[in-house]
Amino acid sequence: MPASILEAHNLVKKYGDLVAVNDVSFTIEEGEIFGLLGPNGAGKSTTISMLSGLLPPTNGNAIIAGLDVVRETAKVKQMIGVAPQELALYPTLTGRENVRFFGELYGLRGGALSERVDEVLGYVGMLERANDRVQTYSGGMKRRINLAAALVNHPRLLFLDEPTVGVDPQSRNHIFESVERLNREQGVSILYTTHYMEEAERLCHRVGIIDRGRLIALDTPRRLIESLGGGVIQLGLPTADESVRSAVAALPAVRAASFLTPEGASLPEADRTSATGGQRKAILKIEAVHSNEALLQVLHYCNEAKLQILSLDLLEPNLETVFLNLTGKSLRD
Amino acid sequence: MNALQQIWTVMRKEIKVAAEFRGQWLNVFLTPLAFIAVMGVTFGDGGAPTAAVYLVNEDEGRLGRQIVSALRNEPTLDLEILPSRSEADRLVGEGRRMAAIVIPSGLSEAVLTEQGGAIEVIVDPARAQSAGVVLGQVQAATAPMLIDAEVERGVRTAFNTAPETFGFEAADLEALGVDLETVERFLTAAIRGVVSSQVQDAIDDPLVRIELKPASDAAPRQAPTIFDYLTPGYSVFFAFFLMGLMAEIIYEERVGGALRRIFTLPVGKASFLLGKMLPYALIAMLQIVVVFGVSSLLFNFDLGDAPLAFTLLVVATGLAVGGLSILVAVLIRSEGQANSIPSLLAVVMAAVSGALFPSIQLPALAQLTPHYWAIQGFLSITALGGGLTDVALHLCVLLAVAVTTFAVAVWRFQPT
Repeated sequence: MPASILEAHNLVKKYGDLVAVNDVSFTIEEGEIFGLLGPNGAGKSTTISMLSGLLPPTNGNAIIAGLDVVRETAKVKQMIGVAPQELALYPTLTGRENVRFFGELYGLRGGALSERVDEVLGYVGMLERANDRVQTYSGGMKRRINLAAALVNHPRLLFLDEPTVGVDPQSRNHIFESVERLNREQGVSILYTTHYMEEAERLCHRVGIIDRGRLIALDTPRRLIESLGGGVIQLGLPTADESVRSAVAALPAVRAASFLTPEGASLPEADRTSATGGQRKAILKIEAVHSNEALLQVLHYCNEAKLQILSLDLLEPNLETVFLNLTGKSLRD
Repeated sequence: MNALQQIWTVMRKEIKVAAEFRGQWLNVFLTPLAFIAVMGVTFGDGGAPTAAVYLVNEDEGRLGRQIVSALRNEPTLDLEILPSRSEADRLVGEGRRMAAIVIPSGLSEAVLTEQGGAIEVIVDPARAQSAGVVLGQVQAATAPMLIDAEVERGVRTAFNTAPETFGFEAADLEALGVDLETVERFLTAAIRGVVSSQVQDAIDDPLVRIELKPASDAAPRQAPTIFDYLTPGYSVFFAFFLMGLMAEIIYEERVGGALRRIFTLPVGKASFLLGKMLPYALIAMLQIVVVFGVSSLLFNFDLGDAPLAFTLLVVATGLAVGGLSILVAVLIRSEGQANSIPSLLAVVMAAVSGALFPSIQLPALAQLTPHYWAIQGFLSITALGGGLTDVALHLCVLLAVAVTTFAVAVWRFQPT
């Protein structure tokens, strides 16, 4: 069994009454790319802040490479690299000056520093523009320098907090390739947060789904998607009728059916979940064993029962659907 | 050792980043010199301020000419002679000059009569208070002539009433062969001579003398000029504007995420803040040296004879600027605060401390500002010829400000 590079145990972060991170536990194996997938405000950045020694947890603890993050912060910081969600760079300095600055703060000097700076700039494909000021770069170039600055100290564990926000497709691909090469060629373990399910599916060996500060699912992307069975159908109906739900759930090709409800709302309030052209509708979420068969059976039932269908969505099985299935809302909400 | 390297790294980065804020450098280095020059020229090079006034002489007699001559010799008056009262009245009304002195027609004769005469001063109503100064200056300048005229009138009066007083007739004197006109001229001249001489004696050698003595043990020095006050005042005032620059940069680091990143590195708060503070302390020291140096070259400002005390005071002032700046910067939490609080603080503290206007009496509150201790320390060295012992307290207070503000900044600093 591979050794863990990171163990997070029951992490909690509270700001007054607000619980930003609520009892989050997971491990990252050495050489693993671990994704934290969740919408904005889910608690991903706060989790990274606690794991990187920037914020003390209210409760719980974390171990990185056998060192306690709170008690041995300085040692932990030597072996991690962090690329924050914000473009944490000095715009009036050049890309090279920025990377050098962070390298010097790690204690690198002289030829070793210059060599390492060139190496990481080459790694992210920014050597040619390295002597230009950061303020002249595109959003994608800034993200690449942001990544280079996080690599300058040869980290064993890299935290990438939404590294592709606001970047062009070319830079996004470059970042993906850099992350994959880092992991494949240098064995760097990576904690990658994102709210783009495509990124998590492509890059991550395992994914933790986080919402409202809670880790609500954790597995490989494939298993998470397989948990959906044959896919999900969303049926828009005029009312949230319990007899309709139980009838649909009893169909042979259907595994489960439930009305999407707002957080903490009772079933009748599901009527308010969405509206089309001012008309209220209730969304019946149907988990299928086989999506095509389930779709035919549901349509047949609606026709027999003379139910008015206001909308019909056949959701493909992916992490976005997994999140929707778990939380009743989209990752981009 | 690693901490020192980190401090040095942060210092170099800070200087590179701060170098881009060119407008702020103009503010810190050139603006104080501009203020010193303008204020120095406006309020004069150490002398009393001059009053710009018009002068109209309608009197054709001797007294009119004497008064014009006396006023022309008065250094505190900037005179422009005008031919007519009406023109003077119009120009003063337009606010061109604060007042016009009018010597009316027939004044020379009028002062010899019982009713006497009057010199008129037409004042600009908008500057009536300032123009009141002119009245005093006119009275001072014309006093000897008016005493002279008073004597002449007194003698004439006495001579004309002498027959009545002493009980003889003019005809009796003529019978004795006395030429009355000659006697009157002789007596007038003689008495005027005696009285004038006594008056002059009273001025030159009064019975009660008021003597000025230099303070004991003080080396003979030139009188302080306006630049002795303006140079340290404005230099220190603008040095504290570095608070705004530091607040702006640290705010941008905060919102841009640079602070978050830096503190995911093995960097201590004290090392980081010291690396940020020291460049501004050095810039403040450089600014003081430049402003004092240029002021010395251009305005003949005396730097004093205590180079060690001066150097230590420059260093202590720079550190106080750095300490207060870093404290304000770490407490700033919004762009609005970054744009307003440091400038407001710099102006209010400067006003309270007496940095903006030379003032003899300062409120006790002034001593709560580092500005006060810096300015008074520099005045001790440059204007009063003091040395290290004279500024020891000033040095202690400034260093205490630097240490205390820095310690509070480290305590209160939150990178996220």
